Amino acid sequence: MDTTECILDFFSRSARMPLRRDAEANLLDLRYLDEGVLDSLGLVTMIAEFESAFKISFSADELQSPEFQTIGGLIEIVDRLRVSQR
Amino acid sequence: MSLVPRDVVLLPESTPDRPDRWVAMNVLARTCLGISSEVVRVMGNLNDARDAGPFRCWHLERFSNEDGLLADPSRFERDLSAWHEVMWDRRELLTALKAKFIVVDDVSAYRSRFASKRNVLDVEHFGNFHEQHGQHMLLAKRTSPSEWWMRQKFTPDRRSVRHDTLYGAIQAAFLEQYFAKHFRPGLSVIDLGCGTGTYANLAARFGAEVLGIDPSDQYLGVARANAAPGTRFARMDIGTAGALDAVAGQSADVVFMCDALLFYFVPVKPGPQPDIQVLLSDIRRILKPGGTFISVEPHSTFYLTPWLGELDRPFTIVSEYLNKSYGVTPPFSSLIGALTKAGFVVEALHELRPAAGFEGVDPRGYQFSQEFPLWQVMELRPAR
Repeated sequence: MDTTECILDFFSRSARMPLRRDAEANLLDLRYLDEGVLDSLGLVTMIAEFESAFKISFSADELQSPEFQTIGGLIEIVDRLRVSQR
Repeated sequence: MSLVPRDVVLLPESTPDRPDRWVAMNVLARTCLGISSEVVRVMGNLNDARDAGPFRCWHLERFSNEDGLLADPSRFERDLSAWHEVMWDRRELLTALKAKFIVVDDVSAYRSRFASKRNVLDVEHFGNFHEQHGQHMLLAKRTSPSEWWMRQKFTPDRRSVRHDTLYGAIQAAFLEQYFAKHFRPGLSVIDLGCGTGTYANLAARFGAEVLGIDPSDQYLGVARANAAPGTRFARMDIGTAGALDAVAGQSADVVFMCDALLFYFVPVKPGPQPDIQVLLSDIRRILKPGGTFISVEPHSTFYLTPWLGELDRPFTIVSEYLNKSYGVTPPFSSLIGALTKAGFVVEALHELRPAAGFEGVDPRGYQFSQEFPLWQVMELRPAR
């Protein structure tokens, strides 16, 4: 399963506002937390869904990192964890 | 240069069988660390590095409101046997003291940490209670703050308010007596922000004809499933212009709102905030002449201040009032200012105290709220 595809799919399903998939580069830079793309329930859902889909577990440090706050950074964290927690 | 900021207080927590225990608390950051007297000595002169330790300390911090909004907000473990003891050398000690803002190196960086949070996972800034709570629920508990909110106030079936918390002991206990005294058959009541309909059902028990209104379909689903005779429920986006147009003018003897007005002053989410004047002019329109607007809100001063001191002689530390950075209730002048601007007159103000039976359930909460009220109830009427 492709990480990027799966994460972008989650955001297109769960965002509280429409996201433009055609502008993918901008989408990767999107600060989805600051922009209020997900509400708190959406965040919990996202963490649970990614941990289950990718068979990974986020640490508190990863959840609090600046990297976690953009979609692109999130993809990089997940990719890293998929290798290290394989 | 390292220093102990003036925001730090030392609270004795020693007992005969567990001597030499102190809580060092930063009252702005609401952070704390358990320390022994040799650490007090180090804090007394940070420039004197001769004492290399080891130093006895304790991890005792907890997000105590995890147990409920009205749980002990003091942020440290009360049970001394649950304190987690550690022995640190001087370097480890200073690292821990700095992590808890009991000692700071850079005062301006420390001050800037009190700037507004950018989002719920923003750990650079402290944020208000709701933001810190949201972060704690998401990161530490992996649960939704809204789920938690339901659990801490309501019984698992969500039909009634839990009586083992201060919600039950103060708020529900007061409203049971208050409704019994003031509500009668045929009285027309609108419960704005009715949630799962608990208080709408309570009002109906005394014969009132109740319309419960809430923006949440999820809550209304529960409300409709448990609806008492005499209640009906409708979904409306309270607080937005035109949202209550379906409610006829001069149709209610009572408009009731509980734990809701604070969100017009301290927002839950960033972005455009609802205008309280839109809401208040709707309430004026809906009320019959001589009708009453009953507002139940967490107390403007004492809500979320720490519960300190002896059990039966409590004290608290009020570190903010007019400009709240941690607290989430408006000061009286803002709240009453908004209400009088909308043409309401305050007819009565009740500062609630706990019901007698609660002493056995939560002695500290009982004693604290005997002296420092945690809720206020206002009766308001449209000015003539």
